[in-house]
Parts: sequence; structure tokens; C-alpha cells
Amino acid sequence: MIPRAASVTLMIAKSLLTLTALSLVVGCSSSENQGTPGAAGSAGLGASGAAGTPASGGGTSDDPVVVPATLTVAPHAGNNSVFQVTALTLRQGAGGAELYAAVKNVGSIAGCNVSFSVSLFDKDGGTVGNGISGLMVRRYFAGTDDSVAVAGCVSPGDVTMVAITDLYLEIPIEDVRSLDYMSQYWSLTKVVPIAGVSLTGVEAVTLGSGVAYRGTLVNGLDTELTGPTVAVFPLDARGRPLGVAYGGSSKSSVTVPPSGTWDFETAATDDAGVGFDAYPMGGP
Amino acid sequence: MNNYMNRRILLKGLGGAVIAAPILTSLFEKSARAQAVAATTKRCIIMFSYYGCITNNWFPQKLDGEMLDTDLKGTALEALAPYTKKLLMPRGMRTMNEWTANNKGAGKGRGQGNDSHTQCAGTALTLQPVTPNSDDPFSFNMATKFNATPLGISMDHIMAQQLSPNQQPLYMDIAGVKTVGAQAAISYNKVDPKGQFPAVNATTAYSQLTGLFKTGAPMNADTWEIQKGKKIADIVKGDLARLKSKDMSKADKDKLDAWVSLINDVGVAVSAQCNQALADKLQASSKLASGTAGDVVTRKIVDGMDNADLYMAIAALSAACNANPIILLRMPNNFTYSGIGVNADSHNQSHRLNDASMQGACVTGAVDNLKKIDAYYASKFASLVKFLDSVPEGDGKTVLDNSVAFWLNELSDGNAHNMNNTPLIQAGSGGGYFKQGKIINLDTTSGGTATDFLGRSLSQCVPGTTQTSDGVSQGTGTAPKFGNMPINKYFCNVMTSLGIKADAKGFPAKDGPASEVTHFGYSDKTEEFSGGAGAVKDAKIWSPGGYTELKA
Repeated sequence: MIPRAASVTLMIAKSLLTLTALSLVVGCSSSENQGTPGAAGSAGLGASGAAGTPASGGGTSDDPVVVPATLTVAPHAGNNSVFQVTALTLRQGAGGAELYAAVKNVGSIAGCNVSFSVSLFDKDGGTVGNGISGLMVRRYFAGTDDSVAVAGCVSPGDVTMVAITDLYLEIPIEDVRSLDYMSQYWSLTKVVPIAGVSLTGVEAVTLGSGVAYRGTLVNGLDTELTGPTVAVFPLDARGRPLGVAYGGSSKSSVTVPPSGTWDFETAATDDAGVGFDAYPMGGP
Repeated sequence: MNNYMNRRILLKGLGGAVIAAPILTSLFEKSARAQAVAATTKRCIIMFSYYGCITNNWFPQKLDGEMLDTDLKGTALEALAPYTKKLLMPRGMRTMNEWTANNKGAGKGRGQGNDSHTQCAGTALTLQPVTPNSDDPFSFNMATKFNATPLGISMDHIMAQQLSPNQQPLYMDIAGVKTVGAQAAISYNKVDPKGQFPAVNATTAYSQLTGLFKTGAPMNADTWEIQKGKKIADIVKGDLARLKSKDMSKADKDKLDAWVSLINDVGVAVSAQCNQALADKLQASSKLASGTAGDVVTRKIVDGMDNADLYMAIAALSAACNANPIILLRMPNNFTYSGIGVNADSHNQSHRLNDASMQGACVTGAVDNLKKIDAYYASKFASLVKFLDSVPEGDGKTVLDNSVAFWLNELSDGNAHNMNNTPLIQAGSGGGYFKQGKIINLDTTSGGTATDFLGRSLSQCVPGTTQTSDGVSQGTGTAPKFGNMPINKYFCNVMTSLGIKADAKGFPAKDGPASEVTHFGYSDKTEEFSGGAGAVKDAKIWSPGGYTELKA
């Protein structure tokens, strides 16, 4: 059952009040990667590492929040992944169709280096599009042997984000009727958690061109980072990602030494939603 | 348009059908031009599948020598045993750009660090690195890791540009899926992020062949007649009778009769499909391929023919009619072959698991399921071989004899993601270019024994072995030192056999001056793919030319 957009609209007003309460309660706990626009460093939706916890709304707790509401979203049959879409946006961007999703690890094992691919279908079940990307990560692990250096993983219970900004689609978005998704990942065993790369002081700033995000990336690895990036996902009240704002470039010559920092500012987004979720090294 | 297309005979039905009859050379025997045309009518049909195989069960025990039907009995290839005299198994080769956990940049590892499927699928028929590159197999920088595409167009397009009427191959997806993501895409006609070439389903391909069953257009009168059970040959009986009345050789008469029989069978099959509940939804097979409507690949169409057989028959028709001599058939990725009793995703099972985690506790029955899939694929390749061999082409030859059909797998062992010891089998001699009835070991320098070349697919997840599937260690893959002869050379053999032209350096080039392709791909050393294009200095083709051992 997919909640209708109308019922979501009604619920947003309620959820904003709830959101404000959450901010007051958890403001001191500094979940550095999430926030509400204009509130520097404050916590926003959900618990640490989990963005998009529904504040309230229609449908069951297992139903993903999807826009457009006419779109049916389901996991690819047989994939048996621990990763489940909790919210999804399919929209037309400046360069073509784009897809953003909040994805939760509903299993009991962490998944590392997680791919996320989608197939889109028309009303007759014909394939009309596809896309692939990787799930954002904030948890880092180092290998205990030579098989793995550093891996980015999503732990059980975590909600993360994914952006497919170059979706291949043959028909208008409004004609897409269903979508299925699948993931493949490594469930690495010979790894231990490490500090990794983190963000601090992330805040939304209003510019003439929209809302951008500023903050600082901290390199907690013992190796230099080259071409640091950041991906910030503006969210609606139910944790549905509305888009993505990128900062930095993996092709840049910027380097961040171990324990070093890099101040960033993302491109502006025209829909800042009511919160955001930010990830280090998430940009192209 | 190629010269031979001017010799096509078109049979027309009163209700709109247009069917291309096969080339009947005796009708043009006095034309030297026709002789040249007939001599160059060669075809290439590639069947592609994913996730490797259980190598111990796929390869015959024999490493080199005459291929006997007994060599294939008891293996996954048993369905091909009746055709050994027209088969060739080059052994000891590897495909390029292998993913390993140690692929950490230029000069490190056996390829790029993107993804164990993205780079393998993208490189399979292009032999080019993918872009953007990743130097970290478990990277936390995820934005571009998986959506990487090759830096060159694929072999099917390279050949089609020179041989196909519209410079495009006939690319059919056996599950009816038009396009897939970068982790599975294999046919690329341009170098850009969205350069993937769309596949067609059986109905569309058949419609292109015959002018019937046009997607989206009102059904023409001939289509209606076919739906009611009328045979294709009856639809065009006027033109067919006139053609049969012409003075032609016995060989051409036999060829025409065989073609009529084949096209009638396929016509009945498509008609049966259209009469089913989903017949009015021509993209129904696409929906089924998503898993939401069951196993469309093994779904029975008519007695003795399932959906995959239908695609093989259409491929054979296209070859026999010279409608398109370059044909690519893609078996589906991430597929549940419930029709053959495998009720689990094919990728998960390749890791001996029942989930998407790529390593963990083995699932009972996974290895047996993989053997079923391997055998199923072999039976479909056998169908293709049978159909191709059923159409005579004069001088005692068949369409198969004038074709090169080969089955290529993305990987060797799916759990290990290794690409050495590539499982590949070919049918047809390409007009006498290739040896037949042989198993030929091309790796004579590594010292590997027949046992070594069976691989280690049974080293995990079977009784008596570890019950943990470990995809990182590559333990189920053939030992890395065996089976590393570059597939680039084999592709050069194939293209040369088809008459593909080359430039002065030996790379395929339309209107090129050279008649032998000696160079194909970015490099014939998988290690030179590490770090991506340009990262390893002086990456090149180190061993130009095809394998002389394979030539007749």
C-alpha cells in the first residue's frame, strides 16, 4: 500500500511540530550529519546514523514513502538483500531523470560496498529504464588481514541514502508504473570498526540560488584522501530524500592528510525540505 | 548496404507479410559477383551468460585432443554431445579486467577496483577498461563505482558495422529485457555513460524478420491468419510457389525446404505465445524477467520448445536469411530459473548462498542448482547449434558450417569472480577457417594438468569441504597461474574468419586495407587494466594475431 501524496501533505504539518521537539531534546547529542535548515549543528530526524524515521503519516510502517505516489516500488524477487527502501523520489532533473532513495538495513549483518540498482517498468510491465549506484556510508572498517584495506559499510538498523542522478529512462516519469531494486554487498567478517571519514558542523545556508550546505570533513584514516567530496540529501518530514547537493570532486587535486580537515560548501539545491542527511566521500 | 543484400528474395503475403528467403546461390550461379557474395556470407552468433559455472563439471576431463561425444557425457555440456564433430573448445584462455580484493591501482591486481560485475560485463565484449575508474575494491566512495561503462564499443557492433545491413547487430535478450544496468550490460555501440545498446525480444525480432506482429501497429491480415494457426509458408504461398518453380540446384531446393520447415515452426511458436493470456502485451516477457511474473526463460512455448529455444530459432532464421549476420543473445542476470527447479536467484547461488551478501554460510543445494543452470544453458546452445545445422547451404555445408557460434561466460567461477580458465565453447567453422571436433589447450606454458584446468569450483560448499563461501579469497576459482592466454587473440580469429577488415595496425576498421584482424582491445594482459585507462604505462597488445592452433 503506498500512501497517497495528499495524506502525506496533511501529515507534514504535524511532523514539523514533532521535528521541533526532537531538535530540542537531542540538540546536545550532536548527530553531526543531519539537521534542519538554518539550525547549525543541530540534530534532525531520527537517531544517530538513521535518517528518515517517519514522524507520522499514513500507511503501515513497512510501506515505503514514494513520490510519485502512482509508482509501485518493490525489491527484485529473489534478491534477498538486507537492504529495503523506506522512501523514494523519482523526479525530472536538469539533466534527465533522477532517483533518490532512503534505504534501511533490516537484517542482522552489516553490508559493505553495497550496490543499488533499479529497473523501471511501464504499465505493461515492459522495461523502460535502469540505473545503478552505491549506498552512502558513514561507518568505516579496516581489514584484519590483507584482503581488505578500508571498507564502507551499513550496519543493521542504519538508514542510508542513494542517488542515481543519471537514470536511463525511455518514457516520461509520469508513465513509469513500477520499479524494482536490488543490492549486492560484501558481508565482511575479517574487519574491525575504525574512525574513518566524518563530517562535523554541517549546516544549511540560504543563498540566492537556493540552499547549500557547509561543514567540515575530517579524515580519520591513516592515509591521505584525494579528491574529497560530500553528498547532502535534503529530506522531507518523513525522511524521503528530495535530491542531493554535492560538494567537492573526486577528480580534484585537493588532498586531506590523516587527521586533516577540509571545509566544504555544496552546490545549492532548490528544495531543502525540512532536514538533511550528509555523507562524506559521497559525491562524484 | 552489403552486396549480398541485393540478392535477397522477398516473399510477400497479401496481408502485409514480407519474408526474406535464404540466399539461393544456384539462381545466380553464373554471376561471379554472386559467387563472391556467397563466399563471404558468414555469421557470428554469441550467446552470453553470467556468474561463471561449476568448472569441475563444465569442462571435460580431456584437456587437449579429438572431441568425442563421450568427452561431454556426464558434464554440463552433455546436450552438445551429438554435435562434437562441429564443435571447438579452446581451453586455457582468460577474459580481461578481473576484479580481485587486491586491485588497488595501477600495477596492483588483475584489473580495476570498481566492481566484480560492472567491470567484467563492461569489458567482456569490448576488452576495454571501464570509466570512471576505482582503485579500491571495497571503496567507500560510492557515487561512481558501479555505474562505470567501457571506453570502447563492443565486438558485436564492431562486426555489425562492417557486415550488418543497418550496421547494428541483432541483439536479443532472452528474458525480454531491453536494457540493464552497468553491472550487466554487454552491448555498447558508443562510448558514453548511456551507450548501452537496447536488446529486442523474440516478438520484435521475429517481426523484423517477417513483417508480422509489428509492435504498436494494428495487426495486419497476415498476422491474424497466423494467430488462427495458418503457417507462414501458406501466407506467402504464391511467391513461394513461384520461387520453387525456378530452376535451382538440389542443394538450394533442400535449403529452401529446410527454411520453410523452420520458419513454419517458429511462426507457430510465436503464434502460440500471442494466444496466451499475455499475448496482447508484447512486452510481457520483460515483466516476467523482473521476477514478478515467474520464469519467462524456461516457459514452454510449444511442445519441445521453451522461450529460450524460440530465441535460438530466431537467431538461426536471421542467420539463414542473412537478415543480420551478427547476433548476440543474452541470458538474464539475477534470474530465478524456477522452471528447472532452481528457486533462488542465479547470482546468489553463484556465491553458494541464498542472499545477496556474496559470502557466508553455504546454502545446501546451491552447487547442484548451479550445475542445473550450466546444463540448461548448454541445452540452449545445443538448440542453437541444431537450428543452425538444420539449414543446408550447398556443397554439403549448412548455415552452421558457415558460421561461428560461441558461448561466452562473464566469469569462470562465479563465487571467485576469476576470469582465468574461461569456459568457452564454439560451434561452426566459420566457412572452414576453424578446426572442428577438437579440444585445444592454448596454455602450454603454465604446466597445468588436466586436473588443474578443471578448476576448484567444488572446493567449498560441498560435503567434505568448508561450508563457508568466501568470495574474497577466490578459493573456488582455478588457481591463478593456469589458463591465462588472452581471449583477445580468439576474438581476432573470429573476426578474421568473418572477413572483418582491419587498419594498418591490425585493429578492426571498416574499409580498412587489411584482411586480418591482429589487434583487439586495450591490452591482452589483464594486469594492465589496473588503475584504469592510461594508468599502466605502455599498455598494449603484446601478442598480436589470432591463435594459429585453432585454424584449420
